[in-house]
Amino acid sequence: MKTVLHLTVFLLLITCSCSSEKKGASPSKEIASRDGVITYVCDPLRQWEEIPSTNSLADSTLPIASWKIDNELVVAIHNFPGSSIPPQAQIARWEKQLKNADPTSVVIEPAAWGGFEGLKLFIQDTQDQAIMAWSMVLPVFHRYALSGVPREEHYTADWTIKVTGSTALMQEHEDAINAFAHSFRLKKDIP
Amino acid sequence: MNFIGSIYFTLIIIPLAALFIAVGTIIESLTSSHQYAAYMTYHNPLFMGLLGCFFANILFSALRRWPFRQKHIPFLLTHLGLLMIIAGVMVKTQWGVQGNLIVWEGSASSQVLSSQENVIVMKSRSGHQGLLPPEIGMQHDGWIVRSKESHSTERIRSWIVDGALKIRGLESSDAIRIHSSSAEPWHISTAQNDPIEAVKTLWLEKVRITIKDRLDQSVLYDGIAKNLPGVRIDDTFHLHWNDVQLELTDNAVPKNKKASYLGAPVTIRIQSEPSLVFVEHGDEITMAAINQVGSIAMTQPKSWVTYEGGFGGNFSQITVPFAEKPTFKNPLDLIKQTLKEVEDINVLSPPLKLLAASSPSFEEPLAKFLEFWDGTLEWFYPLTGKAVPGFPAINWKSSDYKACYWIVEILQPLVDGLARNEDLLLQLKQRGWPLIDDFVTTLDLVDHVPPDAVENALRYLSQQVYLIAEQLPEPPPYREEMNQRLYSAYLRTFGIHLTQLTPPSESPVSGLPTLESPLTAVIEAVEPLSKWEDNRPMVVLENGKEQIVLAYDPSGKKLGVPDKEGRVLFSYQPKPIMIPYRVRVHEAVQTNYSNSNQPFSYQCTLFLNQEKVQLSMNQVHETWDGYRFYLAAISPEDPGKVHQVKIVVNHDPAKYYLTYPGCLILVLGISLFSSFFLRKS
Repeated sequence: MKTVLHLTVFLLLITCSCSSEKKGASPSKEIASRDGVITYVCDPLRQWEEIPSTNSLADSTLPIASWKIDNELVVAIHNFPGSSIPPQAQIARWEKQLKNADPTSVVIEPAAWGGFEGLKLFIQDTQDQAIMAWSMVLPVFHRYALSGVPREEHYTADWTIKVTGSTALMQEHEDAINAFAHSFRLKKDIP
Repeated sequence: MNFIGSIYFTLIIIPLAALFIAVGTIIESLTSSHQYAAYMTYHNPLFMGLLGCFFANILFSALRRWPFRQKHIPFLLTHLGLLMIIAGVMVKTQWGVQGNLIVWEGSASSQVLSSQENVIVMKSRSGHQGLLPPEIGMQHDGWIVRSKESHSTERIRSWIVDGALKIRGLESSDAIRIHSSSAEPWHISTAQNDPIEAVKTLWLEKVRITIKDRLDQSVLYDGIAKNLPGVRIDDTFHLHWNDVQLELTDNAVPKNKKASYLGAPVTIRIQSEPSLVFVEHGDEITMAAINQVGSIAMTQPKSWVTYEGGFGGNFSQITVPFAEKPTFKNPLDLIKQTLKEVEDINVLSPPLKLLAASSPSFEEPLAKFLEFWDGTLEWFYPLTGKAVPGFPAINWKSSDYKACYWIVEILQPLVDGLARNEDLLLQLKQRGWPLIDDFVTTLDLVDHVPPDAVENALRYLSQQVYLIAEQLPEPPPYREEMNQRLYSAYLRTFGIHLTQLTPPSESPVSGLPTLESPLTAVIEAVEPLSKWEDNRPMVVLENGKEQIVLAYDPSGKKLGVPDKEGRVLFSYQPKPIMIPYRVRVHEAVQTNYSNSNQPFSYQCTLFLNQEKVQLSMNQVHETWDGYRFYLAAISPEDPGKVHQVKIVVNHDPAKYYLTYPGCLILVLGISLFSSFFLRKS
């Protein structure tokens, strides 16, 4: 009897394992480039409210996708097929967008994922407004790999993610925003 | 059979196995090479034979209990478990996967490079991939491995290989036309050691210097630079001759230069056979170019290019730093060549038509005039200039005379102002030029005339004067000595000058031309290292017509080597193994200890057939069918650069069917043994 008990406990021990599945993962959202073909995928949180995009996205000043968080923070994704803006220039442009920017709040960090590389900016002003944004470009060797691929211009396009709104709210959602930005990727892998 | 299943046989093979393990441990500690130790022991056929002996010993010792009874169950279970574990080891060795997968962030791959087996990959244009074991005598598709060395060094050479210049499309020649099929040929040569000294020497030997007295056009010197007494070039490529100093790296240097020699005004004309010299210094190549006017530029190969996926070969590229420039060696030929298609003089531009009307055979006087005028380096032919032999007296129409007179009168002070570094636009504003708005708009000026736009601006100004000449006051009566000066003004208005004449080109080339040289791998066998992992073996393949030498490429990412016909692409690399998972790397992060380059942790997010998976230093992912993925390395460290990730992939096909069940049965057998002995006691 003792042996059977020992065996049962032993078998239970070796057959049990912890599940590594993460619960509550957000469903992936597919995003079309400016030619209307699905090009990107990202994982926004369910509770974020998607802002419907306009019919014509040829104008690169319009985002290809955007969301509202708590009815206040705006998350906008832009891409720029056919033109390239160096991340440093994009960051410099964003820095000028807050009228009463606090220069001591500026944090610029390098970033790279999904085959793209660039810079992340955080800046806030003296009136509780802030910008958290990423400007990402494809390095030359990945551009070569994509040369000749149909719709090359859209795969190799620079993209940006910009979040604007109140500083306090942005700090509250910082982890979720970071996770969302880092989930943004091309739908197809780079050859 | 009794002996094989006996304890005596066990007592023989257990010490033998212990000996193997001890030897393996000692070898690994002495050489720091796991690969060498594994080759000598665990992957040695003798060791596999020893495992077979264990298998037979356990099997026969169990069979010796036949016929089996209930009391044999623990004994049989223990032996069955051991047999399954040994069988699992054999299956894993034969059919398991152990290798590396190297992927950039954003990219994906299903191809693992084996860490235990190397092959020669022979890829055909159709995409078929043949694998040839890198052992002497092995054959595939007509190719045979002729020799193999354990370790080698490889250097990639191009441009100069064994002292000979290799340029794509060029068999053997000392001159090539590189800008267009009708352009002047460039002489090519090679040199070794110091590129600066090589260029200086070449310049002095190739360049022709003509020094003329600017007043009477008499030739003071005409010959190669080397023979001009007192001439030298410094290391920054400045030409020094008495009080004359010319910058030779300035691409815009005119071929004529005003200078003074012993106080007398002279003109220095520099002409050269355009030349390229490839200088080999150490493992580097520098190309120096000397163009038609003696300007020097140096450059190095900056890019590689691969044609037809490698089947068309791999080449180093270098850009010739000069655009095509016309040669003015013989203005008469140039004029004749330009005018040979002209049958009716009415199609000529007005100044040429005027000259043709004055003298039917006008080509030679025109050529002489252009050459003399160019030699004066003046905007208009000087009044004091030497009379050009044979230049006709022109029958000026009064309107043309009036226009040319005023062009000279208005522009000459402006040209003098330019010589004093006064801006042209400013001068026009100060003088109240009535057509300034049109001048600014047409030439797209802002607040000054840039130096490179001055010539065009002066021509446009001449045209403005020409158009309004009728409204200007009457000039003084014509004088014979004004003939050539006025004619130069007429030519200026229509943009005709020696520097503006270009030889007709069949296919004008825009931009800078690029030369290519095949990349040649120089592979040499050297003494092998004790740590096998650091060795780079080499093999020599033959097919009766040609020989291919391949150096081992552990990453499998280097450029392949094509055969002469471009039919097969070879690479010597770890054996590629396809796995049923497409691994896409999304993000890889390396965190270092603060103020250190030592990694504190690695972390990587990837997609395995769309399933999101996290790997880290201590987090391994295992799929349901036994593929295990370990994060091995991330490079570069820079968090702002796209990373390359090395993932170790391991697959044991017997794990769930033999090894783990075998362990379970073994444990069960031992437990039953224990309970049996406990009950007995």
